[in-house]
Amino acid sequence: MDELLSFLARHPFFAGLNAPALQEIARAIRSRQVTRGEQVLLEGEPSETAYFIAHGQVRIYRLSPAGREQALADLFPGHSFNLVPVVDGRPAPSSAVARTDGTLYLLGRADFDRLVGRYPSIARAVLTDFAGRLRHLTGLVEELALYSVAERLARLLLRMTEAGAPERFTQQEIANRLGTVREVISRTLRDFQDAGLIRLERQRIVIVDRERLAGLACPK
Amino acid sequence: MSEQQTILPEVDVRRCTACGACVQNCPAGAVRMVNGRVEFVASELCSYCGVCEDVCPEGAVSLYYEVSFATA
Repeated sequence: MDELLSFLARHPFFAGLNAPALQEIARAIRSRQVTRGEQVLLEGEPSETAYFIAHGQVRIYRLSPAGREQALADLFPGHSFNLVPVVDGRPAPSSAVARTDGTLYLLGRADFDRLVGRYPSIARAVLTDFAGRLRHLTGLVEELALYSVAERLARLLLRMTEAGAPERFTQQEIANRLGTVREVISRTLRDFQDAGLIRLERQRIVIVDRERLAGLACPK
Repeated sequence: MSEQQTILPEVDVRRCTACGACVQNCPAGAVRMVNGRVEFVASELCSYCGVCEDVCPEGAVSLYYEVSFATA
């Protein structure tokens, strides 16, 4: 319970609420352990649960009828997901899979509605969160629609280095984020290496010419 | 053992059907079928070429990468 209360006190939705309020919220929350690769949520299924990531990483994605995946977001501790069905009561708009072992906190729709009624600051914080997600998705639409695969890959490689602690990705996961297939990513990475932009090492993609890669990422 | 020698492709045992495609196609002989399970048994032979990932029909093999800048 202490860990949950500490999590809630730090979370943007609930930060600023007093101890009795946080305890009331904590009593409404269930905990769920997930293992790497575990399906947390399926697009289209009825769902009235908001998820908060206490530990681990979760990928949000959608699948085409042919099974091709488009990653929408990679989420980390402190992030939340599946708020949309909790707000509008409709099925889950996306799927979620655990990228690592982890712990999720779950808050049901009825409790969410009740808590928002008692603590309106939660609603304002959720609105701010939704605004951030809209900006993220708008940027994703822009990238998928207006940039080539090479340009999108250059942008992604530079973002990966700017994110702070290194993350590991497979070429398939990169393809899923960029709206293409792994073979195209593999070929494009080799093209980048041939052009002297990167060097492919064992488990590492090393950016050799940052300036030229940035120029490719932001074509004039 | 150096860090480079311990880095191997990862096999998702939930997806792997032990079809042996990775074993048959590995150019270095680094992956073998051991007791019906795929194992990378010769880490010093694996060049991280990615053929095993390419040929796996189930998407069970994954080669992970980190992105970094070249040091001077």
